Amino acid sequence: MNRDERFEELWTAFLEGELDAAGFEELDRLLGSDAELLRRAADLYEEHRLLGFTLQSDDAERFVKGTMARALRDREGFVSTVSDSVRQAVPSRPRRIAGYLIVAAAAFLVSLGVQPLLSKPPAPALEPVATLVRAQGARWDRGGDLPEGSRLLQGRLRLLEGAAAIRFDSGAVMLLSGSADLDLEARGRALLRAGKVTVEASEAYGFTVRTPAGEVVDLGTEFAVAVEPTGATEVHVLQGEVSWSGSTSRVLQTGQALRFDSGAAPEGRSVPLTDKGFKELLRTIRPLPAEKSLIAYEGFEYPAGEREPGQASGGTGWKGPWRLRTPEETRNDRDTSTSFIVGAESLSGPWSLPAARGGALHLPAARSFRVRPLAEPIDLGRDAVTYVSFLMRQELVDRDPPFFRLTFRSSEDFPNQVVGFGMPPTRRPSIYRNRDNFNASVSFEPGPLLLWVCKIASRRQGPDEVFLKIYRPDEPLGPLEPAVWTLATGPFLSDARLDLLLLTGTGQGRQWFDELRIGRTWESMTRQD
Amino acid sequence: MDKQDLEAQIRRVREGDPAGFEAIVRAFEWPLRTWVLSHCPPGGDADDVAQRAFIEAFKRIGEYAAETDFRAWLFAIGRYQLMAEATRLRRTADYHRRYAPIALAEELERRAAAAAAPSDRLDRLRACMGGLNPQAREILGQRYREELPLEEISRRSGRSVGALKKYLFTLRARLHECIARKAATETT
Repeated sequence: MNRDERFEELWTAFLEGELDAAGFEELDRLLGSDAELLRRAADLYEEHRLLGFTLQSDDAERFVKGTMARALRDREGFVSTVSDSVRQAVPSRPRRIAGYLIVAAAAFLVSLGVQPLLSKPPAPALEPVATLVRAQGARWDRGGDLPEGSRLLQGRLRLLEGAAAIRFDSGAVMLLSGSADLDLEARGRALLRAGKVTVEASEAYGFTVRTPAGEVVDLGTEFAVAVEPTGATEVHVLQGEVSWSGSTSRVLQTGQALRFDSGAAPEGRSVPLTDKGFKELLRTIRPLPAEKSLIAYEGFEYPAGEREPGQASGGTGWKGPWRLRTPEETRNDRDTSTSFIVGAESLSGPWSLPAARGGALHLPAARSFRVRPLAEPIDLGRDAVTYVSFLMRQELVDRDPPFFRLTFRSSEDFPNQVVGFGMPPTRRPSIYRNRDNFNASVSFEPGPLLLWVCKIASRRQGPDEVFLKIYRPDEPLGPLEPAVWTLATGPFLSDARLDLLLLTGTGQGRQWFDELRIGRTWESMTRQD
Repeated sequence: MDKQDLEAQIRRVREGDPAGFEAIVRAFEWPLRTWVLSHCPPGGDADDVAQRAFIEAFKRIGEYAAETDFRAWLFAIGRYQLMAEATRLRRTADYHRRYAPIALAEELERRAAAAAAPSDRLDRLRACMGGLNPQAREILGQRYREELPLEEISRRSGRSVGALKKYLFTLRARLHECIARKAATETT
């Protein structure tokens, strides 16, 4: 295969979202070594984007209305942001955008030799570095109530009352209770200004808690750190080892508890070891009851057999029964099977999940699309976290393998406002957002039952993110959401209001779908009744 | 919208009437969106970037010097937004192994930084599409308008997925050559 043929192959895979990590590297080498080919590729990419634009239906009006709605909403948000800024809260969406603009504008003016008009250096854009994985009665100075599952940006975070568990993106889990004041500095580092935290960092070697008196670095362990208003710091090693660096440096072992006070005890003074370990403390942080956090449920509790979709209206949290797509939603892509088939047996796997009810939806070897309106839409324009879970199994076939997608869409703009999850024939799961596909680098073989847990973290002012975790039957389900997801979108901005659920099954293999849950907490997806 | 109308709408916005800004968005939606779209790095949401550019222009309309070049001012904001989007994407974990080869992303960024002005590429693309045969237009419609999976287009067209990929590559290459020819003709 010559260079042009290889470029054609790699380029096509790139545009179709089928390129794997090795393919990306090879394509990059090819483009980086040939300036002419790089120019051609950039032209082809621009034309690829423009083809989509020119062939899509004219949606100028939607764009104009959407822009005006956002502009007016941001103007309102800007006012409240200014009033909050004295508290050093995390920069909101408009402030972040303004920050980017200031950086770019300053660079541009400097490049022109013009004296910058901006007197203050801009703050760098803040990134999400952790997730609030559980909270009980927690009240924060950063926006009052934070929903469980919220992504936490770098910056100061003060717990005023209650208890909470935070998972840093490096994998360490930190428990806080009562009053605690800390700075989330990075994926694997926090500054504890006051209060007490307990950390379990077995998945995050090197996790660091800084305090006014020094720095605690985890060496694969479980430990607690308490900081008093004077800055005096206690370090308790519950398991493993930690390194302490303050006025002096030393390694602390399991069972050691020392108090460091830069004035009175810079070398460290022994204190009684805290009597509560991480697991015990975590158990005391009770999540919201499932009945309060479950938004919608469909267990396909219908008599086995075929019926019209409109006759299936079971479950809870829905605005109406299942239906086929309207002609406007269908456009030119018609269903080749329109019946709603329910199998007698519910899907159930080895995971510790709420008891399965009813049967399971059977998606035949055909092109079938089933829609159901949500009673409570998923609104990406507000601060919320929405979890979605379901069980799914696909038949192994030789040709035209099954393609499954679950997407949330807007009834106001069905084709363009999309957040969804799918398993294409490449067997590498995808997240869909509007016209972008995000493809996983891992693949899943057809046949076994898979548990999908998805998370949509939205912000009124700030970046949104979507995550997907697929569990194979041999993979245990933890009490907290995972540190590592199968796939994530990275931060993006959207105000879409998604009020429809669309299930899509195509290809020649049969597919089964069951136990669909939409809720506000990880526990509402996974906890046994 | 002529310059006089545009300046009148800008005055309305400054006086607190957002309807004036809607007229401005309507007037500049197409050129700004297409420019952002063609320069947006892979994985970026071009419409979101374009919307953010308009929103910034709305908030900073007081900084626009009346009777100067509003289009250039708006496109400069669009360019900054695009640069911010590129920066954000670069920070995404594994971005260059999942969404965009480094060389391509850098080339698109370089182009975006070099020219914040409407391009004729879309007009040329449309003209070139008119020269394709109906079957080719149908395949492109299924791929880009209906966004059907290749497997479904393959089923409908009777071509294997492999042959379909080759055909799509050929169609894109043909359009690219046609656009380049038109650009060369129009500039000579």
